[in-house]
Amino acid sequence: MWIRIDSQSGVPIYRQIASQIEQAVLSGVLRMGDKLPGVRELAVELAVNPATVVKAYDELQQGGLIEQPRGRGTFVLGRAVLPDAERRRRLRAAAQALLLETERLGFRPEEALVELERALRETAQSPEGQREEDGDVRR
Amino acid sequence: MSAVSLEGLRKNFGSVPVLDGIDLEVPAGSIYGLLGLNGAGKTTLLRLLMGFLHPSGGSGSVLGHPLGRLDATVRARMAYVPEHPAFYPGMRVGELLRFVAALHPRWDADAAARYLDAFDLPVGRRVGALSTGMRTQLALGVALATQPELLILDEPASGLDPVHRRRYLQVLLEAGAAPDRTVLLTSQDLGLVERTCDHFALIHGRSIQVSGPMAEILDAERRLLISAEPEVYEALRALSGVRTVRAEAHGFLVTGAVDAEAVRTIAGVSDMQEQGVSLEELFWSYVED
Repeated sequence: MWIRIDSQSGVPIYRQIASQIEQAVLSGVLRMGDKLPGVRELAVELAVNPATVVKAYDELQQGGLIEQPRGRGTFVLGRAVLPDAERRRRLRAAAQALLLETERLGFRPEEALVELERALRETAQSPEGQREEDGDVRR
Repeated sequence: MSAVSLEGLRKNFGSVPVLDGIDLEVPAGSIYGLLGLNGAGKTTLLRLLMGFLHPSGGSGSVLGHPLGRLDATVRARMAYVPEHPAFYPGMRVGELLRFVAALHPRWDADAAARYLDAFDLPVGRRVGALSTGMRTQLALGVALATQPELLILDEPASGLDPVHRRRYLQVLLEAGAAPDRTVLLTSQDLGLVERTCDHFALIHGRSIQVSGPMAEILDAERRLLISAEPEVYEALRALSGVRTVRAEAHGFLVTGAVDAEAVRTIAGVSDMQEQGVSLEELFWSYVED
């Protein structure tokens, strides 16, 4: 099992499970239509309380990442299904975190823009970035 | 429905109060962790629930029956595994099972065989020759084979190596998932409690300091490292949900179920790092004064 539980992290266990599944979906380890383990099965495998797995799956379902048709199991939907408002909210939060870090390091806010533009140029040149762009065009 | 319900429960040993005003609701079907330092009274509380001790005051019920008047029928629906289970050392594992089977009205021989198998316990070995870990597993298996509605475990999985511990917890979680079963356990191992329990209560200073659903309580709990002027202290103390405020070199460390946005609006606060807490950190913030 690739999901790990860290009891010292201060992150609730259900959120650790949810975010690792989310990362797996975003990175393509899990793809649309893949079946996730059942609640009891995953709970026993990870040696955690079943309610914790239920809460993790519910959070992923609310985020539009998985679906749980009654009695049929749990399936990955894929990232395109994440609601627009939620995607926008996360992007905005990341931008605010960048601004805060810029300030902490003693730079003026505009410096964040300079670095963003540099990162953009570098990503566009690497083959890795090329693939990302292709994917976006398709969507 | 509560499997255990306690109101103002008190217990004195002679003139020494051990538990003073315990209020506790253990929902039926939950896996409930009871936390506290050594000597906090956890084992005393468990022994009160089993009827081994009589309360000095207050009231309570177990499986719907008033505490202190638990007859054999109710007792048969409960199982208690102490920290150091005592068996007749000369008995073989198989003999022990037949012995308990003859005594217990709810004994499930198939379940007993399944647990022996799950734990890889040798039927022919004398109980006295089993390792500590095997004895611990045997005690859980025997308790579960009596099909308890309320399973009470004092320091389960203590003294188990990582492999046996994992197997033990898996069996416990699988058994605890039965809808008509409630598990109440004490443990010094806060990681174990955070993983396995859906509810918990913390006993400190003879009473319950915090209790309720694990995820809800930990979700609300924050650890905030705040960069601020010293004058801000009073404003931080006055915030709703704040439990501890500790002065640091140029700011404060605040713990509690605090709304971080409310902290940001206080004049004199210049920066803040927000973190969640583990059950272990929550525990420390209550017992470390």
